[in-house]
Amino acid sequence: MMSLTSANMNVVVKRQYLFKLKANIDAFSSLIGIQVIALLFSLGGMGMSGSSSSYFTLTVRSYSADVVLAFTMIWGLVTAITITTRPYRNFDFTFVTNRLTSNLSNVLFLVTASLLGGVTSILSGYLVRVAGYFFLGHTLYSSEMAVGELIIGIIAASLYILTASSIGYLFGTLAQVSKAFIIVIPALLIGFLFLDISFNPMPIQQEIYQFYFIESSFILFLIKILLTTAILFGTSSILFNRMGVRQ
Amino acid sequence: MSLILPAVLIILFFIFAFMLKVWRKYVTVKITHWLLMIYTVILIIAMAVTPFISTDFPARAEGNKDSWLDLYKDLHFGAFDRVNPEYIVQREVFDYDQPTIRISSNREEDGTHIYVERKDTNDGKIEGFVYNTGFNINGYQFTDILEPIHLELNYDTLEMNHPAIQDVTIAITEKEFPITQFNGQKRTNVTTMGPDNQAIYLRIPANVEISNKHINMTYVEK
Repeated sequence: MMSLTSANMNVVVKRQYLFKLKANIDAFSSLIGIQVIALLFSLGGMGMSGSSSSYFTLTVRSYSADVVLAFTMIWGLVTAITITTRPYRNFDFTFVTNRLTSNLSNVLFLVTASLLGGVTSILSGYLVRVAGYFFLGHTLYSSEMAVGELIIGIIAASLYILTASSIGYLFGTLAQVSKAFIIVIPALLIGFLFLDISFNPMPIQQEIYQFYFIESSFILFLIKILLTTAILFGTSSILFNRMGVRQ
Repeated sequence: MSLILPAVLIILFFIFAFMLKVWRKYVTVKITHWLLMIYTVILIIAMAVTPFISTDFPARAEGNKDSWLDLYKDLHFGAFDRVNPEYIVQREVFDYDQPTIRISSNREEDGTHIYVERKDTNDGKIEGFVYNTGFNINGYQFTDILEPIHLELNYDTLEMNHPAIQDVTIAITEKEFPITQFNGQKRTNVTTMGPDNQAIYLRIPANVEISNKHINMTYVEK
């Protein structure tokens, strides 16, 4: 039977996006769980240094939510891989759909998740400070955080999580294209970590680190991240489009 | 105390996970919504509370890493009036009418720089100055947290009383890396400066002799 109703793409994407927010709500429980675990790690102090002389022994502990953010990036990566798996992709067939709308709604979901992860991970920095004050009994020296810094921090953190998500989305897609990637990707990643740096004074890891993490211009950082995520999501979309229906 | 919090949180986590499992059998309400709301509220409360519990960093240390060299040089040449007044942590004037004085320390091996100036007159007063160029961590002035040497006159003995070895823990909160990446602030790379840079300057009347010869001191050159 043919349908006389033509589906508007925006409406379909919006419906799928809202559906995925509801269907994947448990991902946010795991976000909270992972951030609480990271907070526990953070309370031990991010860094500790000591110094001593004939007059004193000094211990300086530094606290921040960097560990929370790192854990949240891992969460973003795993969540993105999860939504590319077959059970999650099959949700899309509840709606009139094609690969494009499915991918767009997935990307929108990951953007939302990244934003939520970015907001909570930066705000959890305050929780680290409060917990440190009440439970560890240290006097906490801190410089005031300006509203502008907070906003930039949230946006940048969200972008980092989105990048991790886009990498996860590509990995998940590749694993759907061929099961061989389930072995190849971890092998490549481990090899990448131990890449011999003795022949290369500027190993690729360092170049990547400098490209994203040392960039001090927010606008340039924004452009770099948006281009990177666009390339990664775009590649995933192309790969998905090449797959058969319900493959 | 530091172990109690993680233990409590882990126990709460397991209790919550158990309750979630039980509730799901009977209740259809999405716990995640509540969880998200509660977590968000906790984060916002923490954000509101933080300004009230934080201590601002102390003032920036003005001295440079060579401040102590300048201090020693000035004291060596008797230019004690040229020394930055902020370096003076104690100034004492003792009335003294004995012919000799003994200088003692409560430490067996005391490496403190002691400068002795013999006055031109017999005014019956010993002046003692304790200097410290300041103790700073990452450029912030933390001099006040360390107790300095204390000078005390006990009959014919001038005592240098060092405090017991102090155990100091300082907690610094750092902004997260997506913030410091753009605001130009450097991550903490703890450098300390100056806790040992203490010196004592004594001005003694012309007719008073220092009786103990084994203490390490420098007579000033004027």
